[in-house]
Amino acid sequence: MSLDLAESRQAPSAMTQDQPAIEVRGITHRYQTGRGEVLALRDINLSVAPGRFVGLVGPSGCGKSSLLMMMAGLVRPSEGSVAVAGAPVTRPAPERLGVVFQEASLLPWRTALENVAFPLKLRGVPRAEREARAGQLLHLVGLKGFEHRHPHELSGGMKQRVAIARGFCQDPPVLLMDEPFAALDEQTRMTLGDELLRIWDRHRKTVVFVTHGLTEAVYLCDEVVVLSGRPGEVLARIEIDLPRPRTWEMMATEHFGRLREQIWSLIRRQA
Amino acid sequence: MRAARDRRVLLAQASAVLGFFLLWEGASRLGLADPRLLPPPTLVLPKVAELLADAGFRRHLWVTVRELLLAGVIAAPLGVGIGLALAESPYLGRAFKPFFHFVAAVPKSVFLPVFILLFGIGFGQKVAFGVFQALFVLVIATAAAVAAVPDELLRLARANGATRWQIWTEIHWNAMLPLILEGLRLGMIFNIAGVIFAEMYVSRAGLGQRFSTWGESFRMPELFAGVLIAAALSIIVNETLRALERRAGAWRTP
Repeated sequence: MSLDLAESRQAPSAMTQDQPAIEVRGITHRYQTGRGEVLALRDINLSVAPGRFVGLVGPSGCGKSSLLMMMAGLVRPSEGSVAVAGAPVTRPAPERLGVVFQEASLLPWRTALENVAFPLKLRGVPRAEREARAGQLLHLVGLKGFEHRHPHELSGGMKQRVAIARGFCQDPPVLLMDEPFAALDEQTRMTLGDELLRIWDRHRKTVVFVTHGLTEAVYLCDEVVVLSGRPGEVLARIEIDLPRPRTWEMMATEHFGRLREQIWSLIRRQA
Repeated sequence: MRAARDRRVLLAQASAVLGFFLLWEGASRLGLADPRLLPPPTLVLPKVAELLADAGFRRHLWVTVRELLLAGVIAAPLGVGIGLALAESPYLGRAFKPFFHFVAAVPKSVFLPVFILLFGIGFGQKVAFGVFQALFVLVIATAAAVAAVPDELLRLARANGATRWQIWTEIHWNAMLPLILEGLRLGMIFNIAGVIFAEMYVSRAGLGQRFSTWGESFRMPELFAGVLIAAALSIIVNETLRALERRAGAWRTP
């Protein structure tokens, strides 16, 4: 079964073709705590071309998740701005930006199908239409037959699949993923990574993927952005020039190891 | 397998009830307890049927039921409303939540004389005292229910462009309902206790008024029959709300 996720979207115009999918300009972020002001991010500039799979890594507490929440319009930065396809992001824009969180964040009182369809329900899409689409997406993530299960009847990996299907539900050109596989065991993480690549390969969305797994970052991404420890600054942008489709054998290659080493040495100096 | 286990549980429960009544009967018949103070169930159970058939008693029962229902109908929106206000406004919550916790800890019965001075000894006073009894646990349960709404779900709804109203109907309502129903159930238990106690203290009609009259005039079979009827009433109210709670919170039990 083929599922054309792009059909509902307008064909990209010539202008949007060479425009970055996401542009982060001069983001600096401070917040107040009981012990005074914390500088979390300093002068982040980043531009992501359409269709790229970009990883965001850095020592814990470097603000990579905060940066993603700013891209999603959920957190307002102290200074600087985010633009998606040239239009500024000042609040959540689900039709332009899908978000997948670390916790699957499923509504426990709704079925898998209703959870995937939830963003469409909020937009007032009729039930039959939104559930037909949600059904196709559950099929796409390998959960055919689990439509009417509730989250407590699903394993951790299945829940995260539902969350990914929900991220694709509105067919946004950009998908922001905040450590989506962090709570899963190694095997499930690897399998889901492969599935994500398979879906991404077919629909070529722009993906920003926050992770603390370096192997995962190298395996999935076209490019890995390394942030420094607090305050977070862009340390390096490392091009992952491994061919696609990626295969598990690549992980054993010297080149893969070198790329991973390169990222690790940058982060280790920060920790 | 499952059915067989269920049957065994049912059998054990039936034996326990039967055993209880047998012990009661035995204690009374064998003189282990004074039958004038503890009349045997063979005397009390027919009395239950007799009372329920009696129009005079049914009038008293109906007064109590109306007091309980009206107090519940007033306390539920009031308690939930105050609880929401305390939980949603950081200012109101910080200023007034402690008072609700303080007053919740005080036995409400000590305020009964004040209620008599304020509302007299009639129907209105019983309702007011029932509301007062039920209110605090409901306010506290509602405020706790708001606090228990998972942040991650609120963030998810916001990320998907939910309006304030949608966040309430889709997230808050579903997450809070089982906890509010639990508060309501506990509130109703307090309500029943309060209304019957107020009737026993001073009143012209109601179950409690019957209890104190029977107690004072040493009419033990009637008193025990009345206690069984009051117990049945409370259990019906409690189980109805518990069933609603289970339905609303089916997603909570894996």
